[in-house]
Amino acid sequence: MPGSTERNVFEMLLSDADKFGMALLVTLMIAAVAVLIGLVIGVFCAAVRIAPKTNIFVRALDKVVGLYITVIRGTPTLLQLLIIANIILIGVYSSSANIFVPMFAFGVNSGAYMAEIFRSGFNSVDVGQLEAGRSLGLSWFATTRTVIIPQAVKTVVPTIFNEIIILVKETSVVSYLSILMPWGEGGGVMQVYDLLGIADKRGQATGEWMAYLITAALIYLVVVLLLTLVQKIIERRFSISDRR
Amino acid sequence: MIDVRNLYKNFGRTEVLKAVSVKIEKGEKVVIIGPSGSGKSTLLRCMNLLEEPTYGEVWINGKLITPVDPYLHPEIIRSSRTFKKMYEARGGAAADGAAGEELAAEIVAEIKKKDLLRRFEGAEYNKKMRELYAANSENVDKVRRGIGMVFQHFNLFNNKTVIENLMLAPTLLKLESKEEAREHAMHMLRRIGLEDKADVYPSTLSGGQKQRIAIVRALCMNPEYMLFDEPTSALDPEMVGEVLQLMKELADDGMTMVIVTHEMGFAREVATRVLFMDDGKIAEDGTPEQVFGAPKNARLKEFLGKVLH
Ligand SMILES: Nc1ncnc2c1ncn2[C@@H]1O[C@H](COP(=O)(O)OP(=O)(O)OP(=O)(O)O)[C@@H](O)[C@H]1O
Ligand SMILES: [Mg+2]
Repeated sequence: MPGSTERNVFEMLLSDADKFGMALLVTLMIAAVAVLIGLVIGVFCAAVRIAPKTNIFVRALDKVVGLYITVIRGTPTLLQLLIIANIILIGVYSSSANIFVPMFAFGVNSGAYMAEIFRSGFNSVDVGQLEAGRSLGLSWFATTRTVIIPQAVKTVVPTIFNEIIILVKETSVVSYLSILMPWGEGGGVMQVYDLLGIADKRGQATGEWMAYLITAALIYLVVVLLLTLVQKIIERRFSISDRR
Repeated sequence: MIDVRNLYKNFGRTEVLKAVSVKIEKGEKVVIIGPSGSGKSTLLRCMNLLEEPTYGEVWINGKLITPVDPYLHPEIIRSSRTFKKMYEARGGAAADGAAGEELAAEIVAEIKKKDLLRRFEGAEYNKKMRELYAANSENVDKVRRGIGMVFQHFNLFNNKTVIENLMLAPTLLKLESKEEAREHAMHMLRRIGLEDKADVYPSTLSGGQKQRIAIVRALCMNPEYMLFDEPTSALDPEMVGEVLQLMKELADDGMTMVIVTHEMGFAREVATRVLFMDDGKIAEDGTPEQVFGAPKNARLKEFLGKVLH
């Protein structure tokens, strides 16, 4: 009877609910830390790119940042993850807390995109206002802080959320690595999976691969919809302040 | 005094200013006219260093705000390695006092003319450059407090209300307390009859209102000088008058003003001096009577023929 196999699949999925929950946690943890790292790198790199190139140090830094952004934007994320895990952070990757590897890798990846977002936000504000501030005797920094950034933020918020949403989904390539956490019985090390990883593993083990993948897809979709909701709320805040 | 010395400005390969020198004394009302692209805005923007000159110096009230230009200082040229080598090679050591001086002057002139100074000119040269700079330079941000600037496109801070626009710089720079700044700003707004606009955002104002507010925003810093870059060019014709009227009042109050404009009637009425710029140079410099009434420069005659008829 077809009905009974469907019930079996549902029961199977339900009995794996805790595994999905744990996987969602892993995905969200990686994404959240990566977003934070990305924001820090992004703000720093954007600041370097837009700062007046008054001395050699800033100019040199600007070249380095330019190279970083070019490399990150010019290579696939999965490749970056594999290179960071197996070459750059090989020491961390071989340890029992190697979840820091994807956190770092996605953060570095996202930082390049966020730098470009912040920079274009800054450039979206008419340079005349910066000149007006300077002509009054305010420093570049003071004008940027009080006049430019408050206006740039409005254009940046939607694009940053877009980047965060992309990042959450992109963390799924982490299923190429094996992630260890000190969460095992009695404090032992155990392997953990992200959303796509657990769906793939349990799906193959149970022979209900498609059902597991679709479940993972639905969970991603819900997370993204929630993020979109937050984005809409924040954007509405800004458009209210626009109408003053 | 605004003292512009031998200013050159290049944008890439284009030479926009070529050896411009001009002194503007306290109380003068200088109007700069000239064809589009002749370098009027660039010269004005060099006066408060919004644009950095390629060569030359800008002095405000006896303070240097640009780097030192060695070519303007014979004693610095004479401390250079290049000078010393040339002096040696031409028998300077054997020359007596007067002849030696003559030779030195000749070499200095040649170094200037042929742009012979290099990056490394020896320790004495570096020391002289540093000393001159240390003794005369002043922080640009500080100097700018005393030089108001008004732009063609107003450049009000769009995220601030009108009164916040006026109060921002005096309070951030701790020149006035919040209350003082507010009182000062309200006083200025009453003066231009816009006190009812104190709490609105710039986007709700007309062009003429925006420009008058931009002018009083600069005035809230109590500047000694005011620079205007085509302040009425972006306005609808019916709003030009109110802005020019405010500028006239400012002039009558004794403000030192440098004004780039195409309003020839205003220039005639208000200017104490008119500069005609052409191709990156000041081609004529005189009273309005001289410049408009008896122009000497052929390009000026042509220009006046176009704008006055
Ligand atoms: N930032 C810049 N980069 C490159 N070229 C520039 C820049 N600013 C000005 N120029 C060039 O320098 C020349 C002089 O410009 P400037 O704005 O000083 O002229 P102007 O006399 O003010 O002209 P207008 O009456 O059109 O305002 C022009 O040819 C212009 O294209
Ligand atoms: Mg101009």
